[in-house]
Amino acid sequence: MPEYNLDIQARIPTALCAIHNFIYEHDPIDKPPKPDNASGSCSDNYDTTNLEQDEAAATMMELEEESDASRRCDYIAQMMWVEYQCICAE
Amino acid sequence: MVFIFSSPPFYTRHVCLPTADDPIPSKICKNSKFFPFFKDAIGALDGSHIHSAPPASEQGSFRNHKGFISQNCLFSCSFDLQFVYALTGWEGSATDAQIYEDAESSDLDIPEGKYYLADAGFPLCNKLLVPYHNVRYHLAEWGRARVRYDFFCLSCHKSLIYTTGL
Repeated sequence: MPEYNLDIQARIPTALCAIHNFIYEHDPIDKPPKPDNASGSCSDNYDTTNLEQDEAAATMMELEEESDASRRCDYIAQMMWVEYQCICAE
Repeated sequence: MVFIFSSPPFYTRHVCLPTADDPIPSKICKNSKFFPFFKDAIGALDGSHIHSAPPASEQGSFRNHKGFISQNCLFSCSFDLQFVYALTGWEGSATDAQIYEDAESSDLDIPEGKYYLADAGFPLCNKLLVPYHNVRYHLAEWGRARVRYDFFCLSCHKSLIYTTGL
């Protein structure tokens, strides 16, 4: 039998993250903290609503996004390649 | 104690996601190998298996591909080695991509045009920058640019591994 329920077990890493950041922030050589923002928390929601009806549209979007993303990879690699060529030419 | 540290206000004060207006991380600005190519990278993202002890009836789904019983957690960190996001409690058998999808559909808010660096276990999408798949770099000169690109992903990933202490 587990001694603690899973919700508490799941909170241990998140608590340690916060403590890690706390210690890091109060280290004298560290920068001041960033402004507050929406932040992560524990959640176990399995989002399965509307899956079927949106599936076709989602697949199309995913494909588009995937090609966008791989174009970006190529773009960055191309930029680096051009700079590398300039360095080689010098 | 664990509730105090993992709930607002302590948690939200110390673990917060970067915003669109944050300046480009100095690790990237100050290194001509990285700037301007990776000016929109805001951190690194990876999953990590952390040991857990679920009830016997659920142990099957908590057994991960490495063979031990764990919860699969998704962490992301900034370039100054601060955690900016954590999603915990997924079964060890869940994949990184599944957890990312859950995070992205709930509270992992990535500013438009920015991205996190991730490894090949994550989907290729607008908000993640992942290494090229199936490329044998040493064969082609073109590959060298990609190697540099991947090297950057790797070196940033090290900062995440360092942060999580794994």
